[in-house]
Amino acid sequence: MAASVPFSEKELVARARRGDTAAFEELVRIHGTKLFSFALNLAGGRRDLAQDLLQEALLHAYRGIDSFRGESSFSSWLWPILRNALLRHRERTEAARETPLAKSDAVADGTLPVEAGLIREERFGHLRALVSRLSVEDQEALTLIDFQELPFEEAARLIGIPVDTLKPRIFRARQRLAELVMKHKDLFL
Amino acid sequence: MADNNCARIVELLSDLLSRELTPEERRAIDQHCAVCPECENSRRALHAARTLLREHRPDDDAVPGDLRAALHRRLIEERAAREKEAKRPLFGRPVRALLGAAACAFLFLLGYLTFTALPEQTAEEGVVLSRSVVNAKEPLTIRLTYTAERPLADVAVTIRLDDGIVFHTDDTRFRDLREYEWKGALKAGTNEIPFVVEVRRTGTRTIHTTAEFDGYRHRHDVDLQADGETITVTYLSYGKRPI
Ligand SMILES: [Zn+2]
Repeated sequence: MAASVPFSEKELVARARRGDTAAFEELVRIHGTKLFSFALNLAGGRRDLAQDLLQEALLHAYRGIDSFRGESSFSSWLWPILRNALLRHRERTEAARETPLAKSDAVADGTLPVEAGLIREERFGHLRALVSRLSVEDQEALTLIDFQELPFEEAARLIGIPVDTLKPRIFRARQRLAELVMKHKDLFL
Repeated sequence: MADNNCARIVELLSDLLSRELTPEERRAIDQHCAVCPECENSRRALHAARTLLREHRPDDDAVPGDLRAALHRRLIEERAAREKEAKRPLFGRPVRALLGAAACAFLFLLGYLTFTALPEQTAEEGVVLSRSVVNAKEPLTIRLTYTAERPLADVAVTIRLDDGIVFHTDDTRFRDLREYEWKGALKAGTNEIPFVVEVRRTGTRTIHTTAEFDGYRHRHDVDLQADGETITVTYLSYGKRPI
């Protein structure tokens, strides 16, 4: 038997609106990577916090699914709800505000045999911690374009802005990220 | 020693993640960085950051399994809470005993069975309408949901349980029933016929349901695959055929 239910997104939404949790979970599976990527960036790369953020946001979306009327695509409806729920939850979570930026001892003093892959993981964590210090609009643009590699048109539709607005936004977001990287260059050397 | 160009070079470097620099700009950076360790370090850090971004794959951020499991549990709780709030008298007296059990049961699943959208022929294999995994330790609420385009009088729904499945109820008259027939009317829109069962044995067993109206018999099965810990619940449609 097939592992997943072969429904169109429209059908899944209809079922989720009737309270079908399995249908909602299937929708989460379809859109989950984009959402979790955004949560990870907001959480500065901390997976436990990102999970917490996304779970709350998804529950919020599930509770409000009746307000989805099918005029836009499901993901365009879901994204701002998640975005706002993630933000509200992050505000409540004191720990999310300051993501520590520090080289771990293992890397800094070079006395422990650290594999290149681990260093890369750690550096990637630093990069996410820097991303989390940008404005939410910047993070959103970076998540969809640079982390999730969506085409501009799709990312703009998801965020709900024209492509012409998104292009300068991503440009400036990358500039601001570059400025942060230069400010904390020790973490990447 | 650095020349006095740091500010301009930093400005160029800040574009390094945003765009391809021109050959002239790259040359200016090269010349400056050759004599300015500070800017050279900035450039190296930015190259590292750019590489990290390029090596990152979208799927690296896939939703972790434990988040999906946690969400699954929370959604079930959420749905149970919703069900408690919305108490609806659904159908006649004999089945109220079963409904009473539903109130304390682990509410879970919605089988959305649409009469109007069903194929004419019998699907021999059955079409999967939904599938979910639930805790085997709790009574299981099966919700037959019928959507009717117009009010329908004289609808008969038969529920037949395989061995190993029993109705979950305190009423001894129902406990030993293998088959139950509900007769009533459906209103236009969504109609729900919930009942609660217990799965007594592991293995795969089926709840067979048929609904008869308008000269057709509509068949739906609910397959319950129990492994002792969980039950995989699959709603299947076999379409309709003339009575
Ligand atoms: Zn310089």
